[in-house]
Amino acid sequence: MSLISMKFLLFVLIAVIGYYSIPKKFQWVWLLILSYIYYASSGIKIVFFILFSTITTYTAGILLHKISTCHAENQDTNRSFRKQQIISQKRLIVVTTLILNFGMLGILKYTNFVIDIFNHISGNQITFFNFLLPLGISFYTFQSMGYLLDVYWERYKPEFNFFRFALFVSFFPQILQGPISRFDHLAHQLFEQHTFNWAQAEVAVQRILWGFFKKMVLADNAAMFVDGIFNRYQEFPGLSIIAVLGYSIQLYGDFSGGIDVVIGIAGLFGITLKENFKQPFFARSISDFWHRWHITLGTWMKDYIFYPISLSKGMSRFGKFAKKTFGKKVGRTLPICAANIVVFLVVGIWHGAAWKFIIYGLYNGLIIAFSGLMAANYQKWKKACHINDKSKLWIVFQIVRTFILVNISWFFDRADSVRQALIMMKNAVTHFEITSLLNGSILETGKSVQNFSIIILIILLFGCAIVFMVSFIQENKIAVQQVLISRPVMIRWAVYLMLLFALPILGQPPTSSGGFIYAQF
Amino acid sequence: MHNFKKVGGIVLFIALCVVISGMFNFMLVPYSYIRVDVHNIQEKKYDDLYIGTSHGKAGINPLEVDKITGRKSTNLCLGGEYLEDSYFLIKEAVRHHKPKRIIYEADPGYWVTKPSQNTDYNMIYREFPPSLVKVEYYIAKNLSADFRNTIFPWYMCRNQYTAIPSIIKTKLSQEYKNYGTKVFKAENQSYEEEGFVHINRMKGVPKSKDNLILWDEAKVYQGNLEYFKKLVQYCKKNDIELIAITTPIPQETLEQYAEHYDDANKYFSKLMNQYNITYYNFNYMEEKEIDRSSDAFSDYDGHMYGDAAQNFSRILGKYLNRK
Amino acid sequence: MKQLLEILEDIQPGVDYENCTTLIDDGVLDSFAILSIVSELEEEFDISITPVEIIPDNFNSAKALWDMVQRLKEA
Repeated sequence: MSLISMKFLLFVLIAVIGYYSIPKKFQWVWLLILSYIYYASSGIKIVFFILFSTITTYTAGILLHKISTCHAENQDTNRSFRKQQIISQKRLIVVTTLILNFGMLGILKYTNFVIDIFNHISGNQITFFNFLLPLGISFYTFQSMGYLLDVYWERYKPEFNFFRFALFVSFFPQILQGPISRFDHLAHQLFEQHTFNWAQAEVAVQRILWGFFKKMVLADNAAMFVDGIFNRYQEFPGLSIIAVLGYSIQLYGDFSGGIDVVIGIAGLFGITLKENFKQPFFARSISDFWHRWHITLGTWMKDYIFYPISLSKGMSRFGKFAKKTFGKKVGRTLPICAANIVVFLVVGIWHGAAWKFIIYGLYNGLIIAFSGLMAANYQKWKKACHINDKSKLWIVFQIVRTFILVNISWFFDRADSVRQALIMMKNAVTHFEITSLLNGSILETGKSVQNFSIIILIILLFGCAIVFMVSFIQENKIAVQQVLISRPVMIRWAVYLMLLFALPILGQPPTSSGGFIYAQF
Repeated sequence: MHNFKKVGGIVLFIALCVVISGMFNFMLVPYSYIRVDVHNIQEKKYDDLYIGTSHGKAGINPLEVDKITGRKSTNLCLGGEYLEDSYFLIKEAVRHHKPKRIIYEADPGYWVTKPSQNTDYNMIYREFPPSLVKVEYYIAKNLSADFRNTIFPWYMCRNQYTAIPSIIKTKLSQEYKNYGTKVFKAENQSYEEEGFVHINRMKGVPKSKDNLILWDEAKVYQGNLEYFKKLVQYCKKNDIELIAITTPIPQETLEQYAEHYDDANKYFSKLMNQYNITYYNFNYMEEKEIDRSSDAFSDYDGHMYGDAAQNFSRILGKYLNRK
Repeated sequence: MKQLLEILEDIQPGVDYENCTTLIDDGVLDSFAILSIVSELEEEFDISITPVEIIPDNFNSAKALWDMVQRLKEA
């Protein structure tokens, strides 16, 4: 069920009405049933996959807890021996569960990539597997593995009720494209009893409308140019810059718009999901960008990969060695940089099984590592050049610089291959022309569309201006939604009507691939 | 009391949306001959119904066929009509009068593509009067589609904004109220009686190859097959005879893409055989009277000129007379 | 405690560590800074800090950090 289908809207409507009509203590059961209906509607077979993750993680959580509590009760004589035994038992459980779940994800997502590499090296022709990637497997796997590690680290107790845990893994609004939730943030909200609240519902509907606006008016319009240029990049070398700028608009509109819809829908049930975007294009560094873009993936990576690697024994040894060799400051930073590069390598691979994504991840990781290493020097240079960190000009410079760096990374994200990305990057600095953009020759509609492409450009600029304005206000810490909701009803209605009717008038139908970009992960 | 006010507000808001959307509907959705086609099956009693694509629309003149068969028929083929649409057109027709026979014009290109939501997705659905068939049609076609197709039925007609004055003028005219067809008369084609579109010869207009979609069995759209089976079942249940045909295309195209068209012919022959349906593929029949030269077609894809259609319709009539 | 404040000042100067209680919540310390602090604390106080300890509660203020160090020293 695509988020933009009529079926889904009706599904949500029925879900919400049911949710507030049944006795409150059954609300979470209702959500569980709906989530499984939603999941099963895209294929009965794939229910097996989500059940697999749910069962293994649930069991592991319980076992981990049991082992710990047994230990607390059994104060026998040989304490340190017993403690060791328990640690290794727990480790065995966690490692097994991690391997089972990430193994499943890995096999489904990366087998063909590995076969491809193998074929290249060995000259064999092993045929590819035709796996169907189960809906949202990346998102629910990450979510449940986060839970597993938290229970392992005893950050909280496991969930003992299997069905409640199943709801945490499968909560339908977020299963398609995140955000990746944490058990301690989401679970209690799912199980609490919620009373319908008009203001809350209005805020939620606002958010949904806004999400559709970003998706249909920004992303789908931008996609027409972006697809046109990227698919025929050799014909239009002078449009590489336009293509990548367009992709910025498309990806942001698509992904953050989709998340807006998801957060809005969860809001209709009185559930607050974590924000996944915070005005990313106002970021002042690449590291800052990742604190504002796909935030829940970033924090997941930080908590479950970055810190554990950084604090591992191997890294600590490396750190000591580095301190001896390179001095205190650099030696201290080097292991962190190394861990950071590993994290972004994983982020890259997460985006897809292809070299271009590995480069995409490494590119981000290396920039952050480099600026980490250079941080002290930058401070010195800034002092020497009398640059004030808080001056507006400096901030604008940082934002523009970061935007350019981010756009360079998009070439790898969007192009079909590393080769294409490099060629387009080269073209971006050596060629520039705009006529084929305006005369409509890049739009793959097969008819003469000169005016059409200018109209779409105008719509895009208009849409960007609105989204920029709203982002600018939010960046200045003003809660736009709260401001809007306190306005008189006439103003609110006018805003809603304009947003609503912008969808059919200014929006485009989704491109051939259909639906949302991040729904394929 | 508070809730009452809130609910009232929402109802008012929705009513406002409906009014605005209705206005757009009136201004943007043009008068289409599909309305006349649908009106025909409601008003008249037919023995034979043709369903299929633009090839059938331009190639089959019911009046000519009827002269040979002595029956009464109408052409419900349409450019952009997939089997899921044909199926409901038949159901709608049966709601008023049960035909004796259905002639399905199969265009291979329509079997390897999906109905696109980037075109006027609702054009046939929209012309149906309210009924259970319409509800079923809605569930089949629109429920999984983009919600804008439902909430804003004019959504895919929005590019017609320059035509608003003429659309309004037409819709206010007597012609529209009486299901007249004069407005469909253009330089290149006209809509004639019983749903036949007559394509005129135009001097100096190059013949296009744009529409050509080649057969590839791997790409067969399963939704089509599903509705084909449904149609077969439905005809069986209602005791309606079902016949399938493929209209001729220019010899030049046929030879250039011989492999594709051969494969398609094999596929359809096998499929129809499996369901015991008579299938005439006029591209592979020893029928000398059919003009296969490119002179008979308005493009390489196989849309016949009106005069060639005249000729073909008589030949079709002969085949329909066979028992 | 004085040692701790010196470490903090060395890693990221210009913060009022004695009074700030939202070092993490307000994003004063990023992950690089956090790990630098961990690395220094481990060396200075001869303790071992595991991923379990990396939670905002332990890093939001100098006092919280100090409490964590004391706790780990005892273990």
